[in-house]
Amino acid sequence: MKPLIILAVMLVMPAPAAAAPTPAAPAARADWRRAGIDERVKAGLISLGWRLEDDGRALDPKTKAPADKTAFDKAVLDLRQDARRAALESLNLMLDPKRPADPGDRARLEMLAQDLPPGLAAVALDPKSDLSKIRAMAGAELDKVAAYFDGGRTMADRRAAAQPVPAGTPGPRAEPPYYTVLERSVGERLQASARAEIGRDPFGRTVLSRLDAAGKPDLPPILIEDQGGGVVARYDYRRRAVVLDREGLLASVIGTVPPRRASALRASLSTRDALLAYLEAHPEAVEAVVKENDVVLVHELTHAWQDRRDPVFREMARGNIPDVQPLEYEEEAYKTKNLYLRSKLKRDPASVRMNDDFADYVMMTHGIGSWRRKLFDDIETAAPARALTLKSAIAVEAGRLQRVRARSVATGEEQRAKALDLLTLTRGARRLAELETAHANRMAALDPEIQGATTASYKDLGSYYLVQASAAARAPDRMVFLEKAARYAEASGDKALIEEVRKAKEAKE
Amino acid sequence: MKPALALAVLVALAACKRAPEEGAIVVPTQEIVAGVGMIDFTSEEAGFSCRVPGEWGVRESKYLDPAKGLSLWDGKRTHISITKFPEMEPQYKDARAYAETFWMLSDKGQPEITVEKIGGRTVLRFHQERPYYKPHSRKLEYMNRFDYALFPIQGGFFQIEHRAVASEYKATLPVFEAVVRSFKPKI
Repeated sequence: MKPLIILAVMLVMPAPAAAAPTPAAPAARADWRRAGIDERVKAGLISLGWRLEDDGRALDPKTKAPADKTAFDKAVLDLRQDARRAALESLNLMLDPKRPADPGDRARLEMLAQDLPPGLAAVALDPKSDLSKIRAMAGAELDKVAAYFDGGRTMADRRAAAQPVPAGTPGPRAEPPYYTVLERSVGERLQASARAEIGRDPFGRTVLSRLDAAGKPDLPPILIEDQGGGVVARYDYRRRAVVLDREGLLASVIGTVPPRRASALRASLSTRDALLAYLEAHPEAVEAVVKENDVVLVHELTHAWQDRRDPVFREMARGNIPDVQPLEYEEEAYKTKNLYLRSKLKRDPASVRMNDDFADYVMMTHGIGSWRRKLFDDIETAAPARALTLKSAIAVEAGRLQRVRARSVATGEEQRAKALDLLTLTRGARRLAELETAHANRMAALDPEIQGATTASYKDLGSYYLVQASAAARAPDRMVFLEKAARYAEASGDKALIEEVRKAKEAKE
Repeated sequence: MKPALALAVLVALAACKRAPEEGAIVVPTQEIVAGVGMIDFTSEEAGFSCRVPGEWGVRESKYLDPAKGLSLWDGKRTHISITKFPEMEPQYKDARAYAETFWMLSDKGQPEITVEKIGGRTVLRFHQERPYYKPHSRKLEYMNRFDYALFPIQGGFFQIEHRAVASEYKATLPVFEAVVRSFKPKI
């Protein structure tokens, strides 16, 4: 009997009672609260598009439905393996014999240790250990992680990853990020408000126009999620979305009501859904959120532009480039938001908040070289495994290439898989190198523009402090602001401003 | 000797042992200051020599062109950097004019500038506190204290900066002072 016929017979024949297959038990639903995940894994899952509900359900980014335990556990394991790979690759960079020894590595290692295999972490942190031994252990562990990811990839996955994605198209990414109609509606209100607010400024219009599609600004989706670590906002390249921190955003919303109502409002907005519903019903709160965060939004929209302009995030989303935070991209985003702030100071000084963004702008105006050095240093300290220069990212990519080259193959299928992996990684390395060159050229054009406008910036800052002085509620603040206004006016050499400040000082005295 | 190489020698990665064949060169400790071994250091690229904390690392070598200076950190939250102007910032050529711009960076006004003779040069000294925020965050983490010594040279100056958490800066201030006292521009 032919196999197909046998199968057909089996399907139609009533099975003996004793052999009746037990219906498959419905897969247990995942409860993220019981899964023992820490804050970092939680943040990682959210960044992959998972939605972790207050009742413990974990909503799958693709289906938007509650995930079962198997799928959830797999996602957590993938995330942990990815973190381990990033930690091992950072360790490898530190172990490079050509790199100068750096006692700061100890602090970095301690931060990375949580993602390293315990045995390796102990050896790496032991002052008596030999570097060659650590290197060998790290190499073996990297092989294991590579095998984990290689084993999970089919030939179809590999072919898809090897296919270049045409410029200007997003390539495969996480599903559209909105989970509910309400979330989408609030996101679109935030987008519209951001377009209006940022579009009031000439430089803001330049930022928006970079995201044009079919002649209209095409802003990425804007989401509200818990970020942790005091992070106000970030661009999530996996979802091609800007994510605003719920707690930070809540503060802006609370600021729209009189102080006597603030506590009651805060208490009523303790859940994400309540906050979304409030924003949906209160356009003035949406506007306040955007006004409070427009500079930050310009920073994140710059990352969105980088994503559309360059193939790097596209390749990263497909695993062809390490999941890193290129410091050069941060440099460009920080400079762009500071240029926006400078433009606002000139056009509408009263709209500029005196916060950390303002302090960062002043620091850049004072000296761009020192500012850049501090920026890179601070970002690297905050994220030792992910914040890398392009040069370091290229080194990590080279390590991955080398590992694939060294992979032994026994079958034609394995040979084809290896060829495809080499193709994608080689292209990834080329993309990173191209970006390194392009970035250097962009900054070479941008820096003189920033430095050449210093005197004009002083005048704008003088006017700004004059506005702040006239609005200051407390006399000591007024004094400080007038003093700053006077100094900036003097530094700018602008006679009219000097005179204006002098008169303001006289009036206050 | 190249700056990176000179410092590479003292301590290996996280105090692990680097094998001798990896180019380790032993640089002798000249003195111990506040528990930190100080070594002699020369930068041919930037043109200076001084004592530096040998157990500290070249924190930002990849962000700072050696011709513009050197930046060291203790592996925690303290940094000492030596930078050359106007190479670092083209708009600053005069040490006093530069020192007199620090009112921009604080609401406490212009820090008082004192003058000291070190190695026959007139060195400008001042300090300042500024808030520290993590990148992408609005949460004030702590106040940093910055101590400065500016060494005028022909056509520019060298800046030596000590950056530490304000509540901890006294622990490493002697190390900074040792760097300043030993500093010799080649120009």
